[in-house]
Amino acid sequence: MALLEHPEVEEVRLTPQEDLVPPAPPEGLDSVLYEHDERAARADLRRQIAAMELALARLFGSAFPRKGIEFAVAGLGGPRLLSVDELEQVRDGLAARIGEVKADLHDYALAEESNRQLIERMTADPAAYKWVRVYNEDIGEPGCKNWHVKPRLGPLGMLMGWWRVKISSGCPLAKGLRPPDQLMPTKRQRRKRRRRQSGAQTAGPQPSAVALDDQQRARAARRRAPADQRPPALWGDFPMSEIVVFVGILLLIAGFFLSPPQGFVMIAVGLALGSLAGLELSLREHFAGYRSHTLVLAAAVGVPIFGVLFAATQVPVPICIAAGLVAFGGSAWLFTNAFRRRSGGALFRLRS
Amino acid sequence: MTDLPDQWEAAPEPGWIDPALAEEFPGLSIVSTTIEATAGRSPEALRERLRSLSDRIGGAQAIQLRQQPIPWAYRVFFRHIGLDPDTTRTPVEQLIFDRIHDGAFKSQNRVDDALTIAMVEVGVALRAFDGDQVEGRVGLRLSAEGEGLEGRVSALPDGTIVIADERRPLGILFDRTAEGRGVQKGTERVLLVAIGVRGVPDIALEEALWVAGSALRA
Repeated sequence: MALLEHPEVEEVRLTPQEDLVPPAPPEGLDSVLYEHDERAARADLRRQIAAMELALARLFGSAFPRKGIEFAVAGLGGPRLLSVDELEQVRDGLAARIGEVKADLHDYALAEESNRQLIERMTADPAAYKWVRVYNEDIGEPGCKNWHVKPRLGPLGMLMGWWRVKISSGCPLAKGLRPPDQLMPTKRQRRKRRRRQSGAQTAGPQPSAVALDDQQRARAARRRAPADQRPPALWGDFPMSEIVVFVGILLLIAGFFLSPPQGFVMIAVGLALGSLAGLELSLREHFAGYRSHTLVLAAAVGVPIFGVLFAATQVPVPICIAAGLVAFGGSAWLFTNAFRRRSGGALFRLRS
Repeated sequence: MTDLPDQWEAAPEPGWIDPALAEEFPGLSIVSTTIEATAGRSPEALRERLRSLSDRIGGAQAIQLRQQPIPWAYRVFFRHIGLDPDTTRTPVEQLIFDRIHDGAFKSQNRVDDALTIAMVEVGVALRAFDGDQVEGRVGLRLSAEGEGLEGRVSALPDGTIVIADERRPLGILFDRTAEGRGVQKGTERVLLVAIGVRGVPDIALEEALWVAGSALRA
């Protein structure tokens, strides 16, 4: 019985605190055994660090393409042997970093799921999410794709409530934006060039690639030059428009002093002449890509249609208005496209 | 892969490791070989090889790099010796980072280009020294108290891990090279050194040296 009990000897009894700490080696003895204990602890810590580094590397891989997540864990000034305390510091730093990255990824996942649901809602009811745009980045995917709620047929669709989700075609090319349309040959130009080239092949030797490139640049520069200055009229420098406007003003003034119906006719003719002169200038500038007159030109189509229907037919007024608006919207779209082609991609251009 | 060059002088020679380091870091190793080559502009063949390598490495490889066994082993070792591999990048990660940043592996000189090709191909950390400036075999050890490094004003912190020959430190591990010990104009023999850590097989070290050596002779 006495052999099974611990001897109650004061010398070997340890305090609770001392019980947790391994005893230091006795004075004067070799410290190999003590060091060996620390070496084992260091090796164990290094294994933990290796495992955590792998976990962090995997998180790094799965975090892509999300930005703004911090992965660094401060170093301790190496390269050198680290003590147990320092290795613990590295391990704790890694553990904390892994926790933070997981929390960040969790937050991202919530936001991305919410954005995915938003895309579904946008697709189901585009009109309720006008102009909303969700990028691939918002749902945690690489690339430049985006979902954008836009109206069909531009302003007309906006007025009519024809909203839809448009999916972008991806990232811009690595070589940058395409050159303006002025520098891009149209279908007709490409056909003419092919014909010219096929003719030239039979006629004689081909110019070098450099010479062809120079010619192309020179032609492009010639085409580009007129857009920087007001386009000339068909009648050259002759001040036809100014004369017509002047005559129109004279008729307007005279019309105010003459009695009806002669006065009314003169006022109407004066207004028509002024409008014609303005319309000619608008057409010339618009189709030269110098300045956009989309709304004026569209009104020049829509208003007469409304006027003719309203004055000369028995069609109800709402239908006349609708027909005028449709004509206005459709022609505005056509004039916008025409200006975009001729101005090198601009939707509109204002000049003082 | 081409055949072993006729001028291949000797099999890679294992270097020595300080017992204190070997005990702490099982698997730590250093292997070296000497190549008769001079520094200077890379020949077209080497630059073409660098361009071809640039085309093979992209963002996807960069993202996955740290999960691959050899790059991961170096990252772990960096943590073990007190370096943060996201601040002081491992050699191969630094090269891949530069590739993504610059859009290509930029040609620097014959030796650096050869090291770049070998490190990216195999993933092993390589260093190059002037073979005529190294005395005896190279190895890894801890710096002694008050020991300096040529070209550095202050003494090395006690216990810094250095690459050394049998007389003096040649450079700090994964850091700067001692002045006058690196490859420079007039170097005729290049000492290629591969540093292995736990998780990097010996054959990878030899392959890295072989690739670098054959690229140097291209």
